[in-house]
Amino acid sequence: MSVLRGYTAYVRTAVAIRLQYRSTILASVVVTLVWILLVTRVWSAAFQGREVVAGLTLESTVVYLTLASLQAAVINTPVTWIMSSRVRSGEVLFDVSRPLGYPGQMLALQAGQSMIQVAVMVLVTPVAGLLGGLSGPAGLTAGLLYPVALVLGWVLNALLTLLIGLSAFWTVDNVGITVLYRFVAAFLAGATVPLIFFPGPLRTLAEALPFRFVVYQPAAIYIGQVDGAEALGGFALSLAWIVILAGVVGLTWRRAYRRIVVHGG
Amino acid sequence: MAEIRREIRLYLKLRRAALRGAMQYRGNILMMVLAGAAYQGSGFAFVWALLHTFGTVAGWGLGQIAFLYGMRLLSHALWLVTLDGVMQVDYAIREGHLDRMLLRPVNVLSQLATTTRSLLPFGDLSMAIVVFGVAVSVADLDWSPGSVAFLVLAVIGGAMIEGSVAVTIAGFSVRVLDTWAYRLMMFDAMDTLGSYPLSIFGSGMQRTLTYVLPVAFVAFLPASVILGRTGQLAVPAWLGYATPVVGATLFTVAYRFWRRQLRGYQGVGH
Repeated sequence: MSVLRGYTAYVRTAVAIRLQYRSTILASVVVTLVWILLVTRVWSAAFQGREVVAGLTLESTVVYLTLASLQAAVINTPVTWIMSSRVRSGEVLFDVSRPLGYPGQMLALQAGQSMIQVAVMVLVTPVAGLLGGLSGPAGLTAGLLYPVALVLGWVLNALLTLLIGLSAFWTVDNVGITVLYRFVAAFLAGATVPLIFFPGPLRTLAEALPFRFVVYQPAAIYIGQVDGAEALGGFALSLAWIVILAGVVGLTWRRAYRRIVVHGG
Repeated sequence: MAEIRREIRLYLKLRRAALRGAMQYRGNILMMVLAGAAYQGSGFAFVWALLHTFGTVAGWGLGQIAFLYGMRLLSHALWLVTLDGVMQVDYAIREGHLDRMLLRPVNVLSQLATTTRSLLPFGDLSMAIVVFGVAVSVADLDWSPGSVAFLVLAVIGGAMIEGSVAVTIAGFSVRVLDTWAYRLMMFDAMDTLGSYPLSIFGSGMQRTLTYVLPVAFVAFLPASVILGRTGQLAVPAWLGYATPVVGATLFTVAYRFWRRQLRGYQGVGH
């Protein structure tokens, strides 16, 4: 029980840290809203005159893009930066000497900071709906499956973030790989283009990678593009990815832990 | 004149030194350049995937959008490669580095511009060349000397427009210290709104992006002129030729503002 209390303290700290940087929150909101305005207009201009393209109406595409842009905000996190700066300064020594697992501590930080992000995105959803476009979920099942898909996507993204962060134990600086992850993953996750519009080979690639479960899967379930067996199959596959990535994080952490000793703090 | 030549010589010396510093972190070089390229490249991947399905957006084909996108990216890379360090002004003030710069016999903005170890601008530059390469091979372009000369001037003008925003915010930084979020918002808005045909918006939005937030001048208006697409503009077509003048004017105003603010510099108590 006390372990759980320890992690909760981390979540609370992350919330407090995030709330200190209010102008950053404002900036992320403005950035997201401007993007929603642009991306939905670009798509509307592209659809011009056509009712349905690749099985999607313009209306549901706009809803998809609005939701996807809000969801994709979760990919942008300061946790990788926190990890690398503590490796650089040696403060990581305090993290690992605590009686809580290091990966767990970082996951709790990510959870706390996501809570604020999610709360903010929920607050601006009405504005996002005005600038882009929103409607109710495609049906009752879609409405029930959407939050499940979101949670699975969050866990996947948190594990990927952790892996990127851990790279700092080898390279000290991880700004490059963080930026690379943020943009490549967001694109392959379907944040700007629903996967069904991807040209052949790119679509195969995006479907083979786990990123699509972070953005595409939930939003596509919401608009009814993915449903029934396909949605459940997606859940099974994302669970499998979560197990694999958790294993990789565990292994990587064991090796990283040995590196810190070499590093000397 | 001799004074300006001296400043340019010193600027180049300092910039070279900064680059030499950046090159010391070998493992990071490729990662940073790749990251810079990925940031801009993911935006173009969006356009490419879209046009793969639809062929045109608001009448613009792949070659034309690539031209617009590449032109914007060239301007963006040009101002970043030359003035990137200006974005570090908050840090320079907080750490007292600006106090030291004020004592040296070199232009302060030029010193700020050259205190950077970032290689991201070269990622932007490499992506700009790639996208522009796509445009040149796909779009039907007018290669007359006049058109090429205007293209060069427009790219420089676009770079000055974006640079003037950075310099203005640096001016505010002298007073309010923490400008990171404003910078992020301004540059993201320019990245987002500057690279796509603004004819996707209604005429009200087009006018706002021309007269209020002059994003349209960076690439959309001059590209419309070069591509012969001024017919669908919601603003007078001749404005497309104004980018070099708008750039020079805005940059001069921004520089004056920065100098004025700098006179009121109080430091943070080092």
